[in-house]
Amino acid sequence: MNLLFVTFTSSFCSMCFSMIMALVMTEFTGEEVLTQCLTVGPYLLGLGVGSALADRISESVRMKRLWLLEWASVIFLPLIPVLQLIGIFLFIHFSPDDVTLESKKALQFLLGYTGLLSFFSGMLGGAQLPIILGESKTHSEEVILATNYLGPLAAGIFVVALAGNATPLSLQLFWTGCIQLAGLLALVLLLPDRVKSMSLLFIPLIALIGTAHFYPHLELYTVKASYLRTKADVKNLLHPGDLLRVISSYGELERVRTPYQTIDLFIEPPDLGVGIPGNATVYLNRRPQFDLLTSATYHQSMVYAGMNLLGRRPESVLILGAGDGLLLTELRPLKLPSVTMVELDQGMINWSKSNPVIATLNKGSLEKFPEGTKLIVGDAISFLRQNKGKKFDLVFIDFPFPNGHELAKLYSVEFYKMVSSVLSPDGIIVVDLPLYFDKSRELARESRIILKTMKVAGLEKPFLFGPLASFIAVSPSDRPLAFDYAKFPDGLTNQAYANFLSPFREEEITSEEWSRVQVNTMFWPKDL
Amino acid sequence: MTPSSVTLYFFTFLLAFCSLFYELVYAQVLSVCLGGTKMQYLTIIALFTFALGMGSIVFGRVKLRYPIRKTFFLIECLLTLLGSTGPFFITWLLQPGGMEGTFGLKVALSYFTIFLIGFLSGFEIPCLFAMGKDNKGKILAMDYVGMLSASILFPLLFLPKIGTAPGALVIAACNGYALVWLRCDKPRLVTTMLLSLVVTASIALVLMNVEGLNNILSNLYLGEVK
Repeated sequence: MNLLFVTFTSSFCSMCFSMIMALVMTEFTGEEVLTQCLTVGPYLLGLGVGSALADRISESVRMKRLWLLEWASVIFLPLIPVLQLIGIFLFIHFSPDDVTLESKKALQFLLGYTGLLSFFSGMLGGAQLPIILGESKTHSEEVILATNYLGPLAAGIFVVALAGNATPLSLQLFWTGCIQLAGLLALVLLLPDRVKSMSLLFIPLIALIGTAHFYPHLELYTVKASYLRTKADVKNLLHPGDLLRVISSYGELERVRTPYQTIDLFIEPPDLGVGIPGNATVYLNRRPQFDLLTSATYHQSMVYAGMNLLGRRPESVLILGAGDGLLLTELRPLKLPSVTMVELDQGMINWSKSNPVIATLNKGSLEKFPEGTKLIVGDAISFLRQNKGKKFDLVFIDFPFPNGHELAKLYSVEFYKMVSSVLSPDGIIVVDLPLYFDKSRELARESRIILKTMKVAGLEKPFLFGPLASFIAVSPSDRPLAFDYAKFPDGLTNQAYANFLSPFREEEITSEEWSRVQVNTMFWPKDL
Repeated sequence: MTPSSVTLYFFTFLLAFCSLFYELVYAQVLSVCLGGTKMQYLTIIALFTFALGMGSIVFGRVKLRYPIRKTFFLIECLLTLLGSTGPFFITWLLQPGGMEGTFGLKVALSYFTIFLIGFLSGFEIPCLFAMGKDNKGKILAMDYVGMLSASILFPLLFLPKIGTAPGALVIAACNGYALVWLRCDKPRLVTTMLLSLVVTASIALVLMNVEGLNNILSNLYLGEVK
């Protein structure tokens, strides 16, 4: 029975750690599909190689080797996410100045590094099965194999359940490590020299507790370093404590993990000596969403641009995303008859209510809704797919930037078609979108893809505005969109008025150039 | 007839490639239809590994009605069918106006299809072992290399270059090469060439209609095709 338990824990834990590895890397790369695929492939290869190598172990030392492998696994596997963070930390500090964590080079390095770690974790897992098969005298080969394959299934359920509950990665590591430790204990009971082996259990136990304890700290240092873009010299490595002290003493990072995203609030102190004011920036999945200094400009631009382009008082407004409540804050004084907000993440809403910085900014707009305002906690896509004929005059789309396939779905033909279908004939969609420009000041590939995607979805005349915070406004009607500057209300920030300028001319792109631009669809996602 | 080692290794590689590729395509389709890309991939990888093992175990316990080569051929026919039509079926199944029934049942049916691919793929290794008795180590090695290649080529080549539906169809057509190999027990050059030509032509046809095929999936998703 003990050997069956060892079989299960071994396959369960090696799969769990491989999945946790993929989750860690997804947080830093944003690329879910690439990370998942490039973790599972090397892991499976590692299983095969480990299995082939273990076949060569002679019968007389099999149990000793199994104990050694299992013991090494309990120490090494929980350490892998720590090694990943150390790799990312070193990459941030020692990569050239122009290489950021969001660049292609960083992605290649991080995925290659994770693939290598995943291969080793697979090897450790794979090596144990042939030994157990050779050693087991009481169980048939099929029973052992079935137990071995039950492990990955249970691992999938376990990791998905923990990640779905936004359990911190350090706790995921700890629980998985504890299960593996239990397997090691079961193995010890099968060994002839139990006392000696038992005494060696304290090493993995200490390593596990240490990993679970230090992981969150290392994670904060790494994330903070990625926001500060700190760089280091090789000699700094001789005094890592100094480097960590510098990172830890500058600003304050609050990190909240929800089942859907990781929210970071990074508060930077003012530099009174040179008159730089302090700031607070909200990052969603490590991508900047808004900051304290430009928040009003951003949200006023979005709301009043939509109102101005519509040219009449909207009867019904739909907000997709914007769980921070800041769009609701701007809409509240307008006393509109119907406002529906669809936000996926209850965690984001709770955090925006409870965080003093955000709650001050949104003036408690998420606490009590005026008549006609409705909050739906759910997936925007499901809401649009299940909408039964209700039409909206204005739709505000305020999603995180499209890094990764999950978010790219919200910038696809299918999505824009669904939004169009809930829009009244002269309705307006305002999309928050960073417009990127390449070195020759031409609209960059990513922005072109999204514009072409809108056109293919039937939104043929996108209107681009916002030199400070960029947006796209678009309508299914044929009328050309342009601001009526006389109708903007008083009382907006100066920057918001400046942001209504529209220096972008998508008409400058020739039809031949348009024909070469790709379209982003859910089933054929493009790299945004 | 015993196939030459090189052919056997090549088809081991190809079949492992196809199996994992199908699963990754299904993961992509489910992540579109149900949301939660990370969770879908994690669940499907776990389910696939489990199903693969179960298939392998069950195959060892059943008494085969047909000779190994014919059994293998039938398994591959089913896999080719599931791999090529599955993405369309699941997208249709999960569309708002798709098949009648509770959503939970539809999701369970989608996962069952995924389990079935893993389960049938689990039959492949014992079949290949039976065909190349003395080369088990190398067959296993090619199997793992095939899966590694699928995990690299799906996200880096197939998904960005041709998308989900054409990717599944191209790989199903490649699976067709294995069908030709298994069918031609006593290979006649003309028959083999003719069948290979049909498979190659279908790959070309798919590649010429990449956009249209992806649009079919999009339309199914949006409920524009019932």
